Formats: sequence, C-alpha cells, structure tokens
Amino acid sequence: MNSSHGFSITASRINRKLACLILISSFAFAIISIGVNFWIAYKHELQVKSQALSHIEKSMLGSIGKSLWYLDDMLLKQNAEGVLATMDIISVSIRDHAGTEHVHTVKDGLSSEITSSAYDVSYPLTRDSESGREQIGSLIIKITNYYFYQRLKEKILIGLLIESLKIFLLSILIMAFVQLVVTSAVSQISNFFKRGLGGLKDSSALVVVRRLHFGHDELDEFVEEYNKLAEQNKIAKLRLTDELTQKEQALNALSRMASLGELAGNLGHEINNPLAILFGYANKIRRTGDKSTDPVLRAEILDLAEKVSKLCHRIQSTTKGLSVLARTSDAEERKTEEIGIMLDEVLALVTEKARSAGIKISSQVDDPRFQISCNRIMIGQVLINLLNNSFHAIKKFENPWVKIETACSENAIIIRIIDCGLGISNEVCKNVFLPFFTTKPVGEGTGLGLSVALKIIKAHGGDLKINENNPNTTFEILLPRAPMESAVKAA
Amino acid sequence: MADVEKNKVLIVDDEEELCDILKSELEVWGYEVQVAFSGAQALQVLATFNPAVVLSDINMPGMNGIELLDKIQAINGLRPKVVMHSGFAGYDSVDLKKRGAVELLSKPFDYQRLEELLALLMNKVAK
Repeated sequence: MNSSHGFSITASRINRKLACLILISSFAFAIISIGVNFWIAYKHELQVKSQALSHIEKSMLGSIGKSLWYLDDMLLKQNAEGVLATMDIISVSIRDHAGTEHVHTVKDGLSSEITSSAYDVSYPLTRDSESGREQIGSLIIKITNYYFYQRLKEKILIGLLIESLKIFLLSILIMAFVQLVVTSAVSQISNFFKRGLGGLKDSSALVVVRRLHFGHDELDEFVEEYNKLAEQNKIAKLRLTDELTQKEQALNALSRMASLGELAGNLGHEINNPLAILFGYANKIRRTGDKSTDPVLRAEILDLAEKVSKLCHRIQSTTKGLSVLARTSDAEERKTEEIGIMLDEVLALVTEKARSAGIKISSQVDDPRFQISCNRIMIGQVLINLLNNSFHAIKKFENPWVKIETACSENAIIIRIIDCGLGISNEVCKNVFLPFFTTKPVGEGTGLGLSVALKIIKAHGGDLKINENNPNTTFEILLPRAPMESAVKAA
Repeated sequence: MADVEKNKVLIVDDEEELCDILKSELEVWGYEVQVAFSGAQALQVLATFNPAVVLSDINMPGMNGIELLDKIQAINGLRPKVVMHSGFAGYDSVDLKKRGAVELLSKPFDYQRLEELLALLMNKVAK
C-alpha cells in the first residue's frame, strides 16, 4: 500500500529535475556573488596595503632620517625592524647619500615564490637645514604580492564553501517541501494511472494522501474533478452494460423467433398440402354417399363427410395462425375486408388459448360490414399480438376478461381491446411502442410486438395508442374506411 | 379468344395424391384432365395437350412454379394459369400476377370455389 503511494524522493523524476534546476541556478548566482566578493576583498586589501605604506611614510621616515644623520646604528636597526614588521614587507635597507648601506634586514624563511613576486619601493630620507630640506639618504623596502594573493585566495575559498553549503541546505529544504506538498501527490496520481485504475476501463476513485497540506489547492481540485468524471463514467458504463445485455437478449429472442418462424413455415406447408387432399377426399366421400340408395347409409356417410370437412376447417384455421408466425404473407397485398369477418377469424385463433387460461373473451362489433382496405394477415397479427399481451398481463387476475369493441364513424373505425387490467403506468406508457421494450421476463417477450404492430397500423394509414382515460387497460386501433372505388371493385 | 381447347385442364403438382383427387373431381365436373408431377413433365404434356387452364403448384422440386409460369407464358400468354400455394412459400402475389397468373389459390382450398373459378375462366376463354 505504501509503495503505491510513492513517498520516496529518489524515484521522483520531478525532484531530480528540480534538483538540477536549483543547482544550476544557484551555481550561477554563486559565481556572481563570489565575483563581487572577490572585487570587494581585492579593493580592501589594496586599501590596507596603501594605509600601511602611508603610515611608514608619515610617521617613520622622520625618525629614520634623524637616526641616519646622527649615525645611530642602534636606532636605525630598531627603526628598520619596525618597518619590517609591517605586513607584506620582506626586506628593509637604509642607505646614506653616498650609497653606503647602514642597515639591511630581511625576514626569515622566505621562499622563492615570495621573493619572485616582490618589488622595491624607495623613500627619500631628508633633513631640515637652513638652506631648506636636503636628502641625506634613502629607505628601500621590498614588498611582496605573495601574501596579498594568499589572503584573497583564502577569502574566495571560504566564500565558496559558505555559498555551497547554503545552496545545498536550501536545495534540500525546497526539495523536501516540494516532495511533501506536490511530488508525492503527483507520484500517487501517476502510480494510480500506471496500475490501470484510471480511465475508461476501471473507474475506481482516486485517493491522494497529502502529508503536508496547507488548505485546498489545485491538486485537490484535480482529484475532485477526476473523481466526479470517474463516477459519471461508472454510471454511464453500467447503463451501457445494461442496455447491451437487454439488446443481446432481444437479439437472441429475435433469432429464436426467426427459427421458430422458419419451423412454422415448414410445418404449415407440410400440413396444408395433405389438408388440400383431405378436403378432396371429403368431397368425394360426400358425393359417393349421395349416390347411395340406402337412406340410413346415405345419411351416415354424409354426416361423416361433414365431420371430416369440419375437422379439416379446424386444422386450416390453426395453420392460418401459423402463417402469422411465419410472416410469409405478402405485405403489400391489400384487400377490402369486412371487419366482422376479420375479427371472427382472430377470435377463432385465440379462443382456445383464452379458454385454457380461464379468460373470458367477448366481442361487440357495432357494424360487422364496415370495410377497411388492409392486409388481412398483418392486421390479424396486430390483433393477436394485442390479445396475447392482454392474456399475459391478466392471467393472474381473478375472473380475467378481455373485450373487443368497435366504434365506427363515417371515415374510420376504432377497434378497442380492453382487458380487466387497471391501466398501464406512465413510465411504461412512454416506452411501450419503442423497439425492444418489454416488461415480460427474459425469454418471454422480444419487445418487438408493439413496435411492429404500430408500424403495421401506421402503414395502413391508421394509429395505435393507449387510451389512458379508460379505467381498464385499453389499446385503440384506428383504421380508415376503405375507399369507395376499391369497395366497388371488391363487390 | 385464346387459341386453346375448352374444357381441358392441366394439373401440375409434385404431390401425386393431390393430383389424383383433383383429377377425379375435375372429371366429375366435366373437364378433360391431364396430370404432370413436375414442371418438366408439364412442358412435355403441353407439346401434345392444349388445355384452356393450367392449375400449378408453386413449390416444386426441380423447376418451380414460377419458372414453369414463365415458360407457359412464353408458349401461350393468353392461357389462364392458376397458381396453388400452401401460404408459406413467401411468394410475391404482385410478381406472380405480372408473370401471368390469373388467380392464386391457397391450399387447402374450397373445392366449390375451385369449381366456380374454373367455370368462370372457361367462360372467359370461350369469349
């Protein structure tokens, strides 16, 4: 856990870059600062030196001149020792006017380095006489620059050391501060993304531990904004997964429907062919019986032929239902149909199902001869679909019932399918005609029924909607009356 | 009008039993009937037999009803052709009518309706 939060300083590239930046800029500043210090020290040394020399000139030359005049060697020596004590002076000699050297003192332990950088300075020794000031000799001192440079070198070295130490301490301080306030947080964020926790795949929340925290800052804002996005992403992903699962299920159901349709097609074909033969045989039996002279036998044969024929009709109505499932009917073919006949056909197909489910089904058609121009099988498919939906919705009710009602006007007919259910919730109402929407458990409904039904009805120039004013669940199909000319043609 | 022999009918269906029963019914109604169990056989029969109406299945192995329809149309476009189907073949009724089918008969059909239809077609041919 700790390693993931990455508190180590060495691991951070930001810290390394920061250290480089601090070192380079500090070094540049140090160079400038040392240069300035050097200049000041140099000036100071020069001043010290010139002060020492002017001290010799002002206060010692008179006393040395007197000593020379009186040839007081003892005093001259003392004077020379005094001058020699002054810094940077390595030898002193006093000569008289004739050039005779009276005193010559040299400092001990002089190396060649010290003597090689030395130069002579000569001061005249004078005496005040009646004729004015006269020169009686000269003081020659040898000054070396060696010590001067040594002192400068020392000063620069010390300055350099102090500056380096300052830079070092400052860098560590800044880096530690940046590490605590910024870098550790950035490392944690970078580790978070490196581990694949961020982004679209995984929407885990980003947690950053701040060791040193001075109130809310941009990093906190970043973490907050990111977490908001991650949360939104998570929700969107969940929704997407849900939708995908639903669509997959719908597709599976659809492919099952398709294979079921194919099966229904084959089955219908295999039944209808022999059924056509059977109808022929029933006809032949009837005709043969008709020829019989024995009235009892004749009646019996005709009755049997009638029974066979009736059973054949029953099978025929079942295979018609299969054709709705197989959907091989010609979608473009429209004929003028009477609503009464169509509803009777539909009722014939669903009555058995309703009866076995204990549902009471009734119809009330105000004008059975009302004509609509339609594809009978497709409209039948819509009606069967609506009825099946009702059956499914009310199967657990006590004394369930479904009612089909029609209301004819001059130009249109409204077919109402009403069941004992207590209406449909607003939420469901909004989506009920959308493709793949279903309230049935997985595997029971494709969610295609009502969307297809609406499409079929719209293609017939009508409309399909839920009547929310009725206390019971009511679907209304509106279909226009067949145009007069096609009605005439049909007649 | 059409250059065909009145009261003659050709039945084409791979379902032999259906052909038999249809033949016997049609003969009772007074028609002269020939039977073919495939499209190819139907064309052979048509070389010597000139029916007023052809009653053909649509879903047959080998040459199907639509191909047969085109070929018969090429021989005599005016001869009425009735197409029988099981209702599950996924046919296009408009297309079939364009190809010369005068009526589509969905199996199982009402024999009384077939009788009336044949009478109507024979009448048209006679005119």
